[in-house]
Amino acid sequence: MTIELFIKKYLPIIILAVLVRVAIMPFYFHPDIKTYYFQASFLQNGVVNIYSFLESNKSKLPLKEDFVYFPLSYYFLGSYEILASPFLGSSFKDWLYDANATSMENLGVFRYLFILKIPYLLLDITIAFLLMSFFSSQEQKKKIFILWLFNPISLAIIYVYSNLDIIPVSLTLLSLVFLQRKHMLLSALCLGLGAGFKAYPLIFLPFLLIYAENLREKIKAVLVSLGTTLVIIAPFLLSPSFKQETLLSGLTTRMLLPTINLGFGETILVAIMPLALLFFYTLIRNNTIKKEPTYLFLVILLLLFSFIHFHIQWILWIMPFLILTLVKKPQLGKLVLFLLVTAFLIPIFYNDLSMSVSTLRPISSWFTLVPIPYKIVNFIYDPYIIQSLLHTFFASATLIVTWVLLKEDNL
Amino acid sequence: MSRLILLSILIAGLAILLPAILSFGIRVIPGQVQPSMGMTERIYSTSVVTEVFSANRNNLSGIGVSLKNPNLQNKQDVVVSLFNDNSELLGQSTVNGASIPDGGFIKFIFEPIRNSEGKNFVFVLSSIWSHQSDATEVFYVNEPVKNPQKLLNGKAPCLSKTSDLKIIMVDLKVDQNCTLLLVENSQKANVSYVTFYKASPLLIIQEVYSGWWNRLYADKSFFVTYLLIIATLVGGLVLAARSKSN
Repeated sequence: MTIELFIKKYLPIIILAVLVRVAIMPFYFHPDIKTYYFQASFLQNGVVNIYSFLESNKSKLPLKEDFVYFPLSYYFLGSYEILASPFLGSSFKDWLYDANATSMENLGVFRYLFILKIPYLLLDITIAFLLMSFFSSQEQKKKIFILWLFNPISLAIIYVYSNLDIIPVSLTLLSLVFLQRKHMLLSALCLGLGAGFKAYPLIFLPFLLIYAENLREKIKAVLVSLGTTLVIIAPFLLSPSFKQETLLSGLTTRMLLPTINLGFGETILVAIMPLALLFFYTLIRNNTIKKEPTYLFLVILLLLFSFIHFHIQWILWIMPFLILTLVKKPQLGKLVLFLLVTAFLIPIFYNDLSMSVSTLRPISSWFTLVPIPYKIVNFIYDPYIIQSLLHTFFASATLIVTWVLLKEDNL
Repeated sequence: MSRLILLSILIAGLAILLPAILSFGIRVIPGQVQPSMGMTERIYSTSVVTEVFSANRNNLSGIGVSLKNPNLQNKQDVVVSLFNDNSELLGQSTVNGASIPDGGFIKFIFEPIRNSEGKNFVFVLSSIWSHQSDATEVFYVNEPVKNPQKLLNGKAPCLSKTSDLKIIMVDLKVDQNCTLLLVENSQKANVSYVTFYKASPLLIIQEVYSGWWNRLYADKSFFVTYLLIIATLVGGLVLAARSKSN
């Protein structure tokens, strides 16, 4: 693409997309952004091992949460905070340390939220370009660019629920780009780096090996991917708080929770089983999923989300692959849209203030008085049944999408 | 491109209008932010809690407190009774313990008191059917002082004859000015509470947006930078659109 073509075709779209984001960034808030930037602020004080630091200083700190992510998250957010500190102002630390409800009344809150979300904005735009690289036709490039930048769900997840998931999401997508271009080791490296932020990209590793040309490449890919993650986490492996709060935390081990009891202490891991089925099937059959890693990445996450309780921020993991499928396979459009909307609605019905109305707290603390969807539904019906119904529909749609993609079998 | 611009206006507009839409879900507005909470005090048959306060708006219509009720152990009524400075009962609101989650912030809503602004009131938090063992506990800002005489304009607040106070009478004395007078066991309550006021949706929307604007404007350097960013982006968009049409 020439610079002239880029300026003519894409620059107005990018400017418009940034404008929309700028309108949202300072005004919406989820507690995660404050918690993780609070913890990352200790990097400025020279704290290298955040896990043991939080463990030994918890009683003195205003926010008691553990650091549940992998080490690169801490270093990334902490480094950005150091860079941004001249623009954040001297009162920023006071705001971070203020655990009271009144902290949202702080006059600098719009500035803080705007500046803290800038890395997410850059990665968001980067994802749009990465998605374009999957297509050769200009029409499809433009379509996916617009679909990513102007869909309200990714906007809400990135700028309202603003968690750092966008970093591993970018790396996972980059891994897929490299895989499409047959750069197996770079693809494995991206997964390893992504797992340095959050563990989930490692789910893709066994599937990545299917694409390796020979055993030597498979071994190299495993070494590069796991080795990268291991190098990142190695300094913390002896830290009990890292093991307890991150490696074995409820978030990391969520996929081991749903089980079918076989007796005598044995269980079938419900969330792992469909992934294992997919792995073995893909291993022996030469089907569409195998030929098109995008679909494989999509189905892996869809199957995983179908059988675990997931957080709203996690939907971002799946978003690029859903959007890619929407453009690559328009005949699945309705199902993909259904999956997207359902995945977004399920967490909205959680009994959690910060999932809905409370995100408007920077605008006015009065919004915490607005009944949350869970409570509204509770007047009429059991909200857990509504959630379960949505989750069942989501799982059913997932199975159909998987079946459609698998049945296009070439053997 | 024009469709994209429309879509962008729609998304940004929704983000800006969402507070107005959600404002319709706000029935009452708080008079203050709830102070941070410290220790707790039990509320049961012979232990009630009182608090004197001054209303900062008209249409006083509720009191909100945080209550401890582990495992929903208390299933008795918890009552907030509101008195004016003449010790007249103005309103009462009851919430059953079964619907008080542990640590939950509970709003006791009553009929709005029209000209409440600037006037003194006292609320009494009681739960006469509760026992000490299964009592709900109210959160204090700091440690309460036991058994002071809680006086308002020289008089103790009295509870209504109509309220169900059979058990609490042990701790109450009859006064010539009112039926029952709280004397014993009332706490000097530094309760962590919030007052609520009824307001029209339009007033709420107006206050939400004026508060939003004022706070945005208050951080002047950010406000100017923010406007400059928006102006630059709009200018860039116009230029890019022109170069596209050429």
